[in-house]
Amino acid sequence: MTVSRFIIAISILLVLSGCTTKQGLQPSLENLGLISVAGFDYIDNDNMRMTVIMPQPALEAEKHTQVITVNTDMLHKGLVDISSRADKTVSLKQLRVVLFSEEFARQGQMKEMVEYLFKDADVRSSVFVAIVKESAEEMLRMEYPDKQNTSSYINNLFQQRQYTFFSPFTTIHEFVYDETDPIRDTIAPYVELKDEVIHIEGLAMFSNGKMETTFSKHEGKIIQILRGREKLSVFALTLDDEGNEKVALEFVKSKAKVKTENINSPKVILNLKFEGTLSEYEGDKDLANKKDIKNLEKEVSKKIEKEIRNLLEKCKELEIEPIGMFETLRMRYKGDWTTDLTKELLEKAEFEINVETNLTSIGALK
Amino acid sequence: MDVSKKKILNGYHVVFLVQNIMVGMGLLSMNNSLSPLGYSQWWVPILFGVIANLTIIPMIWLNLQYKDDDLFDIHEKLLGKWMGKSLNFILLLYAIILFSAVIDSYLELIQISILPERSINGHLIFFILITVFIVKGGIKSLARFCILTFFLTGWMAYFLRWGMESGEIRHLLPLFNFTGKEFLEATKSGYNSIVGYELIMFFFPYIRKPEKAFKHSSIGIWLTVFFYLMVGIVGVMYFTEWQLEHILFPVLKLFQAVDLSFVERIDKIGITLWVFLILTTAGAYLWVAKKGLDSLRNKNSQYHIYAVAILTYVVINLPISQIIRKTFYERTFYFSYGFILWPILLCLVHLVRRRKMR
Amino acid sequence: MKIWKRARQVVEKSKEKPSPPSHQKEPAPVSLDSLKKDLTDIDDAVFKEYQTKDGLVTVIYLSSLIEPVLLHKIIILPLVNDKGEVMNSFDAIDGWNKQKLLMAIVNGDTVIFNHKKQQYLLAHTFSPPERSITSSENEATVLGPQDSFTESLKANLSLIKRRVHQTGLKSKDYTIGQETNTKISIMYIEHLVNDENLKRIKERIQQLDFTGYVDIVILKQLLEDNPYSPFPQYGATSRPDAAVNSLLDGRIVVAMENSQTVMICPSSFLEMFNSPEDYYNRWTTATLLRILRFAGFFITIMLTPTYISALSYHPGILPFELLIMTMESRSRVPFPPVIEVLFIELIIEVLKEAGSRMPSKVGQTIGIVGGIVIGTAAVQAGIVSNTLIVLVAVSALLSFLMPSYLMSNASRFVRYIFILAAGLFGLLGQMLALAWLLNHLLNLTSLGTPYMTPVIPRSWSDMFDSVIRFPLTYVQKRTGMSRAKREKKPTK
Repeated sequence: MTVSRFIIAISILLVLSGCTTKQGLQPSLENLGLISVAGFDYIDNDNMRMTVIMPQPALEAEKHTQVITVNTDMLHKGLVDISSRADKTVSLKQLRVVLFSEEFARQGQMKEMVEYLFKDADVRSSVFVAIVKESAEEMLRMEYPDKQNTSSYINNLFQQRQYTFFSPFTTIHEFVYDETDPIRDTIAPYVELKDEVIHIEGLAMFSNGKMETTFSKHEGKIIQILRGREKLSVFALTLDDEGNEKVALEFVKSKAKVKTENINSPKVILNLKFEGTLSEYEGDKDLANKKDIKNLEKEVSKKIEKEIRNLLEKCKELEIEPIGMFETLRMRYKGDWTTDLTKELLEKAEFEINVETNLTSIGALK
Repeated sequence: MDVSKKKILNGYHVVFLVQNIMVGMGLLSMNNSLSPLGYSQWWVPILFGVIANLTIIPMIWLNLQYKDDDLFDIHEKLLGKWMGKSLNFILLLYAIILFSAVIDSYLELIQISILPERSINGHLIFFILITVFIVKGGIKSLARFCILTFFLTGWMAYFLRWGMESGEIRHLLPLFNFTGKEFLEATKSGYNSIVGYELIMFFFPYIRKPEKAFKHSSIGIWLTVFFYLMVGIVGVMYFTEWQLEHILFPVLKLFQAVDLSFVERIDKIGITLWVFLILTTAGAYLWVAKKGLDSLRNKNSQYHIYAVAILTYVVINLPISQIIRKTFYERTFYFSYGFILWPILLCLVHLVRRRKMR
Repeated sequence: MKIWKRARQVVEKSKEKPSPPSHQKEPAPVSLDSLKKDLTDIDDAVFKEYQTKDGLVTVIYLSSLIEPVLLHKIIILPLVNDKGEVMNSFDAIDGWNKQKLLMAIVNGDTVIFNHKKQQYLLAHTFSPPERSITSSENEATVLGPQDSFTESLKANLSLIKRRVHQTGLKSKDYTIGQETNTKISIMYIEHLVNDENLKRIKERIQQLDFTGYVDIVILKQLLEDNPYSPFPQYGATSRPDAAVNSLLDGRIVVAMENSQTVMICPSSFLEMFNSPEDYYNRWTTATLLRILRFAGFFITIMLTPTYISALSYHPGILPFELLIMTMESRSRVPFPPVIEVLFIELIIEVLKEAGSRMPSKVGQTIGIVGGIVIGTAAVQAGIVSNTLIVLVAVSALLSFLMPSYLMSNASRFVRYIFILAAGLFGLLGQMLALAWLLNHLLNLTSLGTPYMTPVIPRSWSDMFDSVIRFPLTYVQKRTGMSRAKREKKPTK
């Protein structure tokens, strides 16, 4: 009995596994067009221009990337259109980066699209989101002759690297998270095609699902610090207004504590601590002198404080809250916290900023 | 052979049986079904654990009065033959429906996320076949499988690390930010993730040391609660309230956050490994259904397993729309809430009868 | 299993031997002529007559089983130079029992017939050509004793008994096999072995009814609890130190004439991954190797199936660089992954089989042909992808990690189930197959003891000597598997 059951099981296995491969229900890897990067451009409120690139691994092929562009009003309809133009079954299983043109983001369709991707079971939640200054299609159609293929180039570009900590590298999970978190607003990296190379230019700031403005790289750094990023690779500052005294810190450890008190007249207390090695200094202080170093530390602190204050005031003016300062208030708040409440608090907020800098060593400088 | 002996379950068997029957599809969607509570949901598993631990007391007390009988026999002894038999019949149906509900919901998830091109039929057959193989060895075989399942799947808790790292710990406060209505709603939909421990009433007569069963089953319950609590905390940290409400299976998204250099999409591996947890849960209900059929027909036969399995296959393949089926399963889960409280009534009946006897 | 037993009983009944005619009815000892008649057409049967003081004697033996020098020394010379006492130095043998007489001759003993007294005598002269004790080829180790069992039961018994000097070590002999009448010896240490186990194995051996035993492996398969399983349920070793180790643990060791391995029962799944060298190495090395072997088993059954799953169902699980690489290597392959994997796995099997059957010089050539010509050429022709070649090679290597050869065969068989399951349902199929495998293993028993100890714990101290081998001071207790009468190994 056991033998017969065993034989039946084996034969079913054989027959079934053989069948499926023959019928081609499940296309295997080489028959799949695996989209690695998708770009969306704005046409009008209903239609969009969708560009996808797929890596083409064939060694003999001249180009290693297949680019297809379609006009569509829905993501899946677009995929069907793309399938009809490609020689393979198109799939989103290997989607890595989604690019949106600035116009697309400013018109507010982006939120819907990202949420749609977020809910798709094929799409991983760690797909990167970025805003392109002009056209996403152009960026994807561009040929980068010194790169192996466009897919890996763009994918690698958005991997976290040592010197790009100013950029948030937002994934679709983080985008949806920020977008649905009433405490804070969304940020995403902002890229631009310049001289046939993709530059990460700064941050795109969102409010209520629409892109509002862009911030510079330096502001990006401060936002990352305030959001709680602890390790910074290099942090450069110009201490005086003329640009005579410059400082660069390396291996910086930062610690930011944001506290808020009193919901009626909110006061935001920001305590920041920096610790790092002095790697570059331009100015007339004597670094061998302990007193001068103390002074330098103070000046650096002051400068950072000033920059943070400027940034916060700017945010207040723009009614954008990218940091999530009021989390501590929410922790004690009864009831549903809304975005309006955040905006209201931001308007009333006062800032108290305490910065402490500690130069652990002055490195090789003398 | 093991099947012929009556007392076969050791303490650790009981612990892992209770623990693995409880963990199933419920954990995958727990954060979602508790989402009416918002961020304050993370500690609710503890509350559920307390409730479970309290409701298991009458069950074990009742079973201790009838040491060699399972619930089917107790029904017949306490309520008379006809009443008992008809109740047992309902219980049998309940077990069969839960068996198919567990399988159906899991395979549906598989179809959505892993094998979209496939009809459910193929893996359904294999799934039921393997459940039958497990149950054929009796409750001890199931218990052994539970032990292995625990070690095969328990380590997946490590994958929560990534969610924890990128999560916001301040989400854990405030603790009581919800209304009573929200709480009831969440309990109604969330408690079914912890249901399953009541099956101890059926395998109780097989336990070697019945007097220690309470301790062991409590360990099992709190082991489950520990895992639920971890998932609850990390889920609350990693998601916003909107996400908790709109993601059907938050655990899978938590697995997607895992960042390893040699393999990606841990959620795919997670779902497929989940099959072990589903097999133990489904196996337990199949076993109960088999026992029910045994007691209804007053005959101990292995063929009852096949009968139940075939019946389940038919039930799942009935041409009923998905929505009706879903609501039906949901109702059955509510029925199980009643079933958890049912032993209290039985205890009362028992006490009354004993007084009369005197 | 019940059915198996029933079938066995039916076979037994149908083959019941006709009871031998009782010798009491015969008036006189078996006549020489009738012996001669039974031994006709056995051309090496020798009937030689000598005239001694006691009268005429006939010496009967099979010349192929006896060394001529020995025969000359202990029988012919004394007979010829008889001083009157020589007849007493031989054992008497029942002259009425023809069967016994014939058995003695066939066993290689010499039967002497005294015509005057009508009396049969017996001399033990069995001395077949034997190979000397060499080092073990299949279970070679660097550390530890190098001797290994040979095909002679006597030599094997001596190899074991020279390691355990006590009267507690028992060796009980049985003769089994309808046609071969093979001698086996059941060995155990009396005050350690579990009586239930011993009873069981004796009963099973007595119930057996099989034509002939050429090697102990056949006996092993017949004695197993579940003959349908792909897994070996009893241990086998050709190393006396391993056999003694199991004896000391309270196991039963069965040795057979003409087979150079002995059987150890009961035995667990995890022990199939243990090598006797583990106890000679430091515990750190031993642990490392055990983890490697144990993980090797699961990797070898999972590696190529995962390739199939990833390529045909879940391309999402591949990291980007790996994806590009795999796509490149797959781009020219015309088959679906399942066929590709089956194809190359079968080629490896064929290579292995061809290599092991050929004389060693040809075997090397086959290795080169297989490895270089087929491997490289297949990739260049685009029949298989080079990623897969690497994976298959690794999994083939891993399958040979296990010290137990039967276990490594089992792992290779099980792998095909996983390959087909992966082709069917991808990762889900793999997990379902794993569930089947684990459930099967959990329900296996070895001589009534769960095969999966210590996963199914018999005693918690087993954990000290499982995948992780703790320092020997922790491994004092006997394993739960053997259910020994004395649990603790004596320290002094």
